Amino acid sequence: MEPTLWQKSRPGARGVFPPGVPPEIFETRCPEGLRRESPLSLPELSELDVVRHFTRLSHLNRGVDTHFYPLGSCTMKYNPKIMDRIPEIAGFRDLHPRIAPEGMQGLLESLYTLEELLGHLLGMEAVTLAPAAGAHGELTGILIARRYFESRGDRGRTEILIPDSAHGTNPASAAMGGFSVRVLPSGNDGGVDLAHLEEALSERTALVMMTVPSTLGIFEKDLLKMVAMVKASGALLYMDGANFNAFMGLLRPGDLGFDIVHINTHKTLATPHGGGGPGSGPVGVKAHLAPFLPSPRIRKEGERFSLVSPKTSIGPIRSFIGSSLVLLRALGYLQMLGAEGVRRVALYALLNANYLRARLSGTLPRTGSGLCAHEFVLSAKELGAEGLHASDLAKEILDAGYYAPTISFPLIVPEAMMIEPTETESKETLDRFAEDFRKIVERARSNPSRVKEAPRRTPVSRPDEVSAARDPVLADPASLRAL
Amino acid sequence: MSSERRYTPTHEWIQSFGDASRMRVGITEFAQKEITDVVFVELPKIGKKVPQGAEVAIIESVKAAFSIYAPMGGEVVAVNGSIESNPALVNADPYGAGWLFELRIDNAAEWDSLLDEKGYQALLSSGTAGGH
Amino acid sequence: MADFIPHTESETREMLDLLGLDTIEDLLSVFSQSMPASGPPDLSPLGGGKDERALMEWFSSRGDRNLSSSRAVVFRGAGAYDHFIPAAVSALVGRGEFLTSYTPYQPEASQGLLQAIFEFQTAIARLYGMDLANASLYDGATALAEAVLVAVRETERSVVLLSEGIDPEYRSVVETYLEGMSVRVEVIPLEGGKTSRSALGKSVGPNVACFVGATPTFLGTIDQFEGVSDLLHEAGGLFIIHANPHCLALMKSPGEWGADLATGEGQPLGLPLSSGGPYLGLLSARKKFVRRIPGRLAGLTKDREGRQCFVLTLQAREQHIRREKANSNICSNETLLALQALVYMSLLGPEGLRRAAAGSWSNAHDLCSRLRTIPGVSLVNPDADFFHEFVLELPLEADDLSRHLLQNGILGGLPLGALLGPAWGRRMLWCATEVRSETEIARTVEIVRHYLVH
Repeated sequence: MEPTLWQKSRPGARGVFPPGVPPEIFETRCPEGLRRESPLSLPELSELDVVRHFTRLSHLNRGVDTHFYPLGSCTMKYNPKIMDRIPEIAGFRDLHPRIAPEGMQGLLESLYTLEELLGHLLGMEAVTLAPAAGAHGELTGILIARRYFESRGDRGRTEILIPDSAHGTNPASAAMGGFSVRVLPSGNDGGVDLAHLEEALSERTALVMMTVPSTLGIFEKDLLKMVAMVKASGALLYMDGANFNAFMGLLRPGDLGFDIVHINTHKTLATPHGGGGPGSGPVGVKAHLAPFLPSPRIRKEGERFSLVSPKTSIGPIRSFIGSSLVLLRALGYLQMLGAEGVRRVALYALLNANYLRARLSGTLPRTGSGLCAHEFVLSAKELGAEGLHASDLAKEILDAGYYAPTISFPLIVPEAMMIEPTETESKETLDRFAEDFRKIVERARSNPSRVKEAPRRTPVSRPDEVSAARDPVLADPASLRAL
Repeated sequence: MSSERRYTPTHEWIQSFGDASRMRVGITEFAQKEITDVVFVELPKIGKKVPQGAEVAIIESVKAAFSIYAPMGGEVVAVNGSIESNPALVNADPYGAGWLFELRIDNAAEWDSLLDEKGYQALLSSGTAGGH
Repeated sequence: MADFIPHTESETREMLDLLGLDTIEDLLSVFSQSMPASGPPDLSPLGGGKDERALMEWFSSRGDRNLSSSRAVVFRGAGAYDHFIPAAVSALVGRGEFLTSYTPYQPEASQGLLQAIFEFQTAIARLYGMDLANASLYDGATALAEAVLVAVRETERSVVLLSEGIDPEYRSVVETYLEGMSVRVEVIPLEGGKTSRSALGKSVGPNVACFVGATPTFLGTIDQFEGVSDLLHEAGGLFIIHANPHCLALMKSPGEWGADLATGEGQPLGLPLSSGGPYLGLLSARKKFVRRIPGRLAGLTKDREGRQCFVLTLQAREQHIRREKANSNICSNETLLALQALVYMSLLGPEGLRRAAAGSWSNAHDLCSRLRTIPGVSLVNPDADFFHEFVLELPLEADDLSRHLLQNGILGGLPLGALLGPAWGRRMLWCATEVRSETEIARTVEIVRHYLVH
């Protein structure tokens, strides 16, 4: 393992010498009461120390660049290297966000172009690029719905219906937006049960949030019926577009009847996950909701672009215009794919998922039947007889040289393992993974105690998560020792 | 009702220790095993009033959170501070040192709606015991 | 056209054969029942695709239409700052093992990022003088809004006091976040560049969840908070400070002022101006709020062999477990930028950060005193100290001067009229950081002088 920066710190060591002046100048001229009195406990290291530290940390980490990442619901596809060049263009990288629109015409044109392309792909009349992540997009969509009903004087719609298979962000966003959550239980096939939906819909329903395809990797067979039921109730329909990779260019949420949709650029549009972010969560809406989109909005007049803040807007949901450097990568990806590429991405995502699903049949039972969408869910429940959980299998998968599938989600499947290969993985990789997975499941049955000890080939073995949560140590004790 | 312990189908227990209007609440042995290692208990504020069946506390394991419901309605008059610093007590001694909070109960008649020892054991052995 | 699909034709054929399908289009049957009446979408607006060269040409030509710092010397801050960034930062942060990894839910395969997040939390906690920090939020504005939500939940109260010293756009973001809640926001005015004590004293009361102060303020002044912590605590409310991390290398920290929670925008810590994002939301807190704060947390623990290692911890607070009862909906955050800020802080070290901050302070004071010698120019809030930003009153509309400077390759101070109203039409918020040279300052002052005097 690598010691922490503070464990390596050597008092007096100097790293990069920045522009500036000796701090004594400040200390002699700034009144005492305004100055920092407590010491600044940051590590003292040479530049080479720092380079070696972070290079070593990178070796302790797996990314798509180094390993197959079949992590369901996360769409861990290849992030094209050419897109890394776009945020390096000085005209974007070094552009100050508080410059008058005349100084950022290239940025505004690029973002406007992305809004238009996403509008086409989503079947939506207006798109905002402001949300910083998928969950942020959900909150945005929910606040838009709130404003919409307020504008109609309809104040009785206080409830949002969410299937029990949904991402946790859906109910959490609903609560942040000031709505109460009513959970829709799944039917036997894992889809939304029409009878439950019928019963739950009322004049209190503001929004129904649906994930399409569902988190089980299934296109609901009654989707169009559900849409019609929700519309008839006067509620709005929200699509969690986290699974956009299954249908980009093949199907449009707007055409299906959805009023609001968010997507995640760090999933379908290949912007890197960066270990948890930055992401971006553009939101598309139908025309009747466009006036409520967050400010500022990009407006095009002739060949000139400007920023406006309509009075009807929900207001800003973040500082400045959006996560521009992430969005430009997403735009680059779409421009590179073009119309034909966009379709091929989704078709091959379906092909890879179905191929891997077929190759894994007979290992663990799948929730759902027939063709899957871009991902599928297996249950490791039967290994409970061996005293094993899905999380144990995941550790064996790490040892076999992969990242692990998503485990324990969706919550409606006991001991779930959610597998999403994405279109950028080769048949060879899928074949190898299928073979290894089969061996792992066999081993789990024949030698469960060995699986309990996995992983063995990773830099560390299983961490003690119980003591980490009971008595959390969230800052390096070595940073206080120096004081 | 003296010192008898009664139960809910959601695996809380409730018991009085002398003062019949003041009842202590905890989770059952079955519940602590299901939850696995308790890492944190979010206890109610003293003075909080809760109706029977309302969520009153949350128990966290590493990867899950479990709601604890009031077996009877009343006012929270004490909480077990020692499980804040040592949540493992809930696993080690759920009926003793791992108790959660005490209620001054509003309506003694609610006692009759609770399961006695025999009824709770029957629930567990029926295999239909729902999780938290 | 490139699509990054690795399959050969014969591989695709074999795969389809296994599935018993004729062509890949047969897969469309997965959603045949949900196909809308309108049929498949028209994709023609997406065009025919671009190769790498054509793509870069497209973006380069758009980049050329932006007045970035390479074409206009930056004397503007107002929430986004032009600082020195060592070359090693992008070399390390761009490594694929970091860039293309997911949230470190599998700790054994993610120790690199987990340790970096833990180190980032440590560095931010130390810089802000607090006990702990989280793994990041979206940006400074949303970090501030989330901190306010912590106070509202903690106190179960319905009034939030925001200092006028907070960026007005941040205040709008807080209002958007509070849209669905029955919470009232009250702005405590600045007096001479500092939060009005009498106004604050009058407003603090039994319904107040928190007061949020900013230092430096949006106007650049260094606010002072003696006794504010006691005032809030006696009334049962929380005290939150939003502070610029660059200035904290030298300036009194939120912890030293007695804040319960502190927030900041991490952009000044090694992130380029980035056309406004992605940026980095900082949130730090006293230990007692550890289970109240939103966002991921990395913690120190040991593996089965007793080796030091790191995990995401206290996850039961988060949306994937607590769902509608979670303390925030945040999932994706800004981890890569947290890593970037950490690398930056490690490379500069405490002395480097102090030196850079002193450079900003010194350059801004130099710029200010030179501009003030121009007839008709005066410093607004002359009695308050400032750090690296200050407001000048001009003898004419600030927009006019701003346009003139831009024509001369200078992004001058921010005209405040559009943000703060017509009364501020002749006022301009200037900034100078450690990277501005004596020549740039001298030239800018001369252009301003020439424009104003003639």
